[in-house]
Amino acid sequence: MNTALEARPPSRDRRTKFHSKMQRVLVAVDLSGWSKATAIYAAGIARRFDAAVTLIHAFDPEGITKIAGDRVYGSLDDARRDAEERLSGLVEEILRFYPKCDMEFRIGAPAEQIQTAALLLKADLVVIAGHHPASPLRFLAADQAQEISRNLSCPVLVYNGSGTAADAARKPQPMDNSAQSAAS
Amino acid sequence: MNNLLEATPVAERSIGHHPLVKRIVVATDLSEQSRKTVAYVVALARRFGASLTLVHVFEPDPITFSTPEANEAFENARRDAELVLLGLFEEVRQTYPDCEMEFRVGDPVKQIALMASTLKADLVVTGGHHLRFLARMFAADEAPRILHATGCPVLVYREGTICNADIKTGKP
Repeated sequence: MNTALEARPPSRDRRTKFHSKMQRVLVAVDLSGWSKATAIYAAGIARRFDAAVTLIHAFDPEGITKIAGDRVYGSLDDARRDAEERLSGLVEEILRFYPKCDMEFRIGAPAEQIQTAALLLKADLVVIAGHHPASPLRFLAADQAQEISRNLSCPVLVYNGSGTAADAARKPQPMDNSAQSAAS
Repeated sequence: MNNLLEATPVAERSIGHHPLVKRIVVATDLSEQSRKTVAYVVALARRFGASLTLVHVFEPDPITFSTPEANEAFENARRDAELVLLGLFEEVRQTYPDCEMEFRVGDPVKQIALMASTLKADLVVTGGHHLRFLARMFAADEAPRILHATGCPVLVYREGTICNADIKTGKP
């Protein structure tokens, strides 16, 4: 807070220009119940800027083998295919509301994959699902949000609700255990 | 298919023509870098027609015992910080009139969360350089509590931290 004392008083020539552009919003989804709300929120932001929305899911084979949950896969291929289909399904959902939406399915460590995609796609904003405050996955979400945002060069938004009291009080949707394997 | 397709009515409404963000709380440490954060937020607020509240939380150093000199130094530092915030506020208000300021003393994370809750903020924004605040906010044990307390999305503004990264690999 001592930096406050180092700042000089504002003057006309030091004024920061108040403008920004946003052309692409990258939304990291883990395909849990909270992902759809996050994607819709991100699309709402994008619409204001007429920006494109890319939903990204990073399928982490290492995570799948570590945490099986109650969804047992015959093989990693089945799990990967299932995740890709679910991401595609989510994109279809968003396209009903906002046409400028596409998807990016990646394989690897979520934080690294999302950082790479953000750079390659020149994302102007990365949105990460923070999970509902009552969710048992919230600690994992906070940890992953920190990891993902650490090396990003663009703004990062952690979505944990619409901001309304009603939404904050709303119970989280049932969690899919495969959420633990992937992004955010 | 799965619970992805279950209805999320509150979020779906937000994609329509209703304002998605009506009030933004900006946590600023008043540094030079924070001016860029504020500039970004003003542009964001303008898009949404949102009200803006600039908040600075003055965090006193822990004092083991109080002396008149220490009290005077504290008061001077507090007053200086408040004046800098006022200057920033006046500057922003010339460009974006729907702006308020709030100066607080205490723990930044707690105070920002309290402000966000009290003002029913739709978005809290802070700068990526605001390291102490971010470290606390993203600390595994505190993040859920803070995010719950704010009850709204949190945006961390960053600019050019990996601008020299390899464009092919994305790695710094």
